[in-house]
Amino acid sequence: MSGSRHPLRTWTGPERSYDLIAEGTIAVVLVTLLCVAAAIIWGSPDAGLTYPGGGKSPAGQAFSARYWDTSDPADLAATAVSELQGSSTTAGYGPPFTTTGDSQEFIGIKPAVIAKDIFGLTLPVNTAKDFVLAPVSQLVAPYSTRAALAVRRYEAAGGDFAPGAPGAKLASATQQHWLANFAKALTARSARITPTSITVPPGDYGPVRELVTAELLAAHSGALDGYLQGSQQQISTDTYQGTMFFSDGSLWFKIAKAQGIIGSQWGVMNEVWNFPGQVWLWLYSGMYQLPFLDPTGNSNLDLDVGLLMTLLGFLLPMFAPWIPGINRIPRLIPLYKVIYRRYYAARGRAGRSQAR
Amino acid sequence: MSGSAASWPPGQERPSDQEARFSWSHPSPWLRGALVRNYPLRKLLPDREPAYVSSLLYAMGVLALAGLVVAVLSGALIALGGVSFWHTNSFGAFMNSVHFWSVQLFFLFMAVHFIFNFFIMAWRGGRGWTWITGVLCFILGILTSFTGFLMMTNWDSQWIAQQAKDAFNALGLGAIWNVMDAGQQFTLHVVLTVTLLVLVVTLHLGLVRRRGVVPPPGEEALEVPDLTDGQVRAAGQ
Repeated sequence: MSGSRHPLRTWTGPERSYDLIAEGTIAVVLVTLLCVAAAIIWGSPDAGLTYPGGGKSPAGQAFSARYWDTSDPADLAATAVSELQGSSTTAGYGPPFTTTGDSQEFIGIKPAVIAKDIFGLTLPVNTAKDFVLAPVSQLVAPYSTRAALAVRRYEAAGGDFAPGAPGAKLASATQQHWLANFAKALTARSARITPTSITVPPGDYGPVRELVTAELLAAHSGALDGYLQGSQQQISTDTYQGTMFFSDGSLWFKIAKAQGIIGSQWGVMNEVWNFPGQVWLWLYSGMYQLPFLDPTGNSNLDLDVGLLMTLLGFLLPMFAPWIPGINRIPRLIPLYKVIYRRYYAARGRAGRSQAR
Repeated sequence: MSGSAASWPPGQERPSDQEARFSWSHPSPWLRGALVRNYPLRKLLPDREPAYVSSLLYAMGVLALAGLVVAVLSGALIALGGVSFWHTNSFGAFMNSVHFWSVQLFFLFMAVHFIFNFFIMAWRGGRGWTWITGVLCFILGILTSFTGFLMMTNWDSQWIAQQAKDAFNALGLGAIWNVMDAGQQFTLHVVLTVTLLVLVVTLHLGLVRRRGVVPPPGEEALEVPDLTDGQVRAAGQ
């Protein structure tokens, strides 16, 4: 890029006095004062789960199974059923969570599948086993004969409980029959769901009602949160199983929408309660709104946006000086003439005075 | 030192650092020469600047740098307390706010710096690597702030992780970069991305000092090859 050019060039035109250390010190002091002032006046986002229509949430509160159960037990129950059915978003996701699923593709290439072939299924989830059956077995069954029998009967009726098993294989025909009946019963007008109980009309639910009730009990006590955070092994910072489970429900999105942070609103540009978020990702967030990418019907939207972001957000600015047309923009819109107007004027005067 | 000079093979003239060629087994003279040639102190610590650098727009770079300094210092204090203490500790919450706003200012000043430098075509005069390292600073800044937002251990970070995972998984990155693992994000944020960011910012600053500020369009002829060190010494500077 520099060719044979001398590495150091020196400006021989007019100069002014300046000091690098002084400038840097002033800048750090000024920015520190601005940050301290902003911190005192506005603080920073840590509002927890407070949202219009919801209860007051303490600072820093995260979404948890306990919060879910207390706030919307019907949503938790319905989500637990969908996890057993294999019909949730997580169950049908594909790599890195399940072996097959709705992996996104571009011109026939599925990067997620390629990554799975290289690294394996790195974050396996069996939604039936990991989100319902295993926690109920560990947390409730030891203290409840009904729950223990329900788990035994459910598992004896078939289903695939292998890590990462695809959603379509999670439940056998018998299990699907029970689950479909119970899912319908949950939405019946007479259904009554509290954080610790489920009352539905009599029906052929197999052991599903007991299982889902046990799930609510585990969530209500907080034990399910401990389980999802890895209590069966070691203290974990990896919350992917809990996050995937929570986001299969509708309360998760209801809170985000009320706080104005879902993709069709401000996305990652915004933080809760109108705090600025990652404003610099305006291009990334904006692409999710572009009609030609068909945001509502495009099943490969994330991949399309990811590739476009790489191209337009990173590569284009990096190589802008060498892209014909782009590198002419400053000549076509000569803002530099405004920026350097005083300098050019002074140089012009100097030139004229020399000519005289 | 004198011993090493004396042990130079008799009859052979020791090459000066300026002429030293790169050698895998003996790279120090080459590196010393390159540093002295490219980074004389009069370039690193100047007390004069071209007259056209008399605009607040030229301060955007140093203000962005100041934002980074405040972000690193406040972030280090938060990191000492762990990932969650700031939710319940008033000092931690305050430092988190300082950290949050320093990052906002860092990007604000960097954005103006970027747009300004685009419109003055700051890549002119062999300053291509300065431009590229500047854009790399922006990209690494995005990754650093992104991992920071993911390790807040609250609802905000849960939501951002759950949303961001789709793009990462779609690109195949999700297999090894699990945005829902706050521990992995902590390592990336306080070790990897910020180290790379500081490294590239240092390179960027080094290149700015080495090449100097780009002259206004039409004034390129006023930039001439710099004096060699020998010429500087001879001139008594």
